[in-house]
Amino acid sequence: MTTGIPVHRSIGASPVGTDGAHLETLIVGAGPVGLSMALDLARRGRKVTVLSRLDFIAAGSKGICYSKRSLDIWDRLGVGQAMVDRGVVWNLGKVFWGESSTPIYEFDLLPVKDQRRPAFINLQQYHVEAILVDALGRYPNVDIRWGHELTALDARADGVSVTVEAPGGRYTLSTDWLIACDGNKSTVRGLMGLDFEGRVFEDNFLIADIKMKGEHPAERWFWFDPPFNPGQSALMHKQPDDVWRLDFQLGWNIDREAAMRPENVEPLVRAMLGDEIEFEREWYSVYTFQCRRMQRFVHGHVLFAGDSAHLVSPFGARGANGGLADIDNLGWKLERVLEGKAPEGFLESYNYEATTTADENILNSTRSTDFLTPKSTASAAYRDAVLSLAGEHAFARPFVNSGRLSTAVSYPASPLSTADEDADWDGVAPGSPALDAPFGGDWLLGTLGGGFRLIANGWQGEAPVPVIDVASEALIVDRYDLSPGSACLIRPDQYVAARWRHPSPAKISAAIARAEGAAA
Amino acid sequence: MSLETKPNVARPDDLYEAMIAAQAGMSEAESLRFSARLILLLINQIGNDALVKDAIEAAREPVPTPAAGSGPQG
Ligand SMILES: Cc1cc2nc3c(=O)[nH]c(=O)nc-3n(C[C@H](O)[C@H](O)[C@H](O)COP(=O)(O)OP(=O)(O)OC[C@H]3O[C@@H](n4cnc5c(N)ncnc54)[C@H](O)[C@@H]3O)c2cc1C
Repeated sequence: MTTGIPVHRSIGASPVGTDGAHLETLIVGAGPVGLSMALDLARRGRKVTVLSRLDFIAAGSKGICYSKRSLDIWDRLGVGQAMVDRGVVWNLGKVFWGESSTPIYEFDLLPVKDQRRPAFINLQQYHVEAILVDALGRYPNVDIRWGHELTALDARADGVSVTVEAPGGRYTLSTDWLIACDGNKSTVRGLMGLDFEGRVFEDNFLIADIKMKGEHPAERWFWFDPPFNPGQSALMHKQPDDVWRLDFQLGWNIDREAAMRPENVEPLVRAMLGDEIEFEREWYSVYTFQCRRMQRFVHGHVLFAGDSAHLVSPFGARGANGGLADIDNLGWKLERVLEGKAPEGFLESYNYEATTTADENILNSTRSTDFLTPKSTASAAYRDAVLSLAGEHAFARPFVNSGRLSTAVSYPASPLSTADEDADWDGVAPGSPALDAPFGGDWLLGTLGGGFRLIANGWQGEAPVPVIDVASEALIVDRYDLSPGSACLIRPDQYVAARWRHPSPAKISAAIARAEGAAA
Repeated sequence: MSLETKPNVARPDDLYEAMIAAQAGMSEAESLRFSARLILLLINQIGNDALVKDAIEAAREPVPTPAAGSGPQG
């Protein structure tokens, strides 16, 4: 059933489960999103079972760029340092046009310094998955079933029954909650007959992951209309272990099978890097891109996260990063529902915030793809006008769109946020992610952890949650605009829930109740 | 601020001539690219997103009514 997929680490099939067993939470899919979801719930002490169709970690070229926000999430899950240690850190992007070796545009993706994590790391998706699998191995409350595929399901109002096919036979399970992290061809979505609306882009891109001893820096280099791929774009990116990702735009009417054959790939690689270079093939493949999402991510007791719920083009690295935002948003909410502290309706806020994130990712990804692949004569003329102006005139550079790279999304209208009482705020608004800064020899985000916290500047009241006093931390006071006596309430997913110039225990309790779904 | 649609330049004939002259001898494609460059420069000069969007709306030609007087006159 899984022939042809390259193996990074073989694991072997898990034994068949007990027929008819009942679970609290079942996660379908062991990609970066399902595994991170499992780790989040495991750390909250919940029992989780994960079904993985494959009985190995697949190799091959998929996601490589993981954003600062994803690293912050993984820090909360205890695996951030392992990812950074294994990955290649980068912050800078350069855009080239035509023959010139001088970039027409450069961008620093981490303009706000003094934060623990860089803008991005590059890391092969299989390394990400391996780190997550290893971390999950330390939790006895996690059961990953390798080689077990969900093949049928019956979703009721209060739970789900599923059929699982495993190498040792077929069995059934029932579960209170099912989280579908089963990727873009989601079996769960298909079996439930749910929508997946959006656009397909008529373009093909060749991914050539090659191994070579390169002298290029760890930066994202992007070309429009380079001499080695005339009329098209190209991208070059460093991965760990001397692996480089090369990405060549090919156009629409091509023979995809032929395009990924070594005799056709290698001349492109040599044209880009020089005839003399020595390299080995890691993986060649051709991709087409789509931008689409489900209308809703919450369907009774079935919750969708990651590629099963939304798809974007890779330019912008918003796929896996967007999926990690989902699980970050969902974990603490589901925990409260499982504990009976919040009504099921609280998960409606997951639907709202995760679809808001998906919409922003799809908007950015669609705009980038339209810039890369102009759909009309006028669109091509504007693109070329921007590129031709950008070298000389600074004003044109922000128009150059080679991918707007993934950042955390804010929810300014979230029902979980409490509106400011005072009008004179700078800093981080409710509904936005907390900003990192050094804090007492550590980092603020690391200190926040995964529960409600109050960041306060010398406030002396009785807070119903742990208080982090930042009175002596000028940079934090500045970043959050915390004048003496003011305070800022942080959610368990490290988003700002509320802030006050004049906090009181009653106001803080009301804001927590609101963030935990009291207003839902 | 709202989009200025009343006369606002001193010498319209000069500017009109300069625009046409700049595109003399250009192919349609070159002319399109020139216009796009010019518009991008002007957009940045305006520096006001809402005004630019108003101008985009104002630039759309009204759907022609199929009635009288479509030929050249006077
Ligand atoms: C060329 C390319 C480059 C990319 N680059 C980036 C990037 O730089 N950054 C980024 O953030 N994203 C990138 N992406 C996107 C990223 O790869 C995906 O967004 C990410 O893999 C989604 O993770 P997921 O866990 O939701 O789904 P998947 O990784 O697809 O995992 C789904 C899992 O579910 C399992 N499964 C499916 N059906 C069943 C079933 N019925 N029963 C049991 N298990 C099942 C599958 O075996 C699989 O393990 C890129 C994608 C491509 C193609």
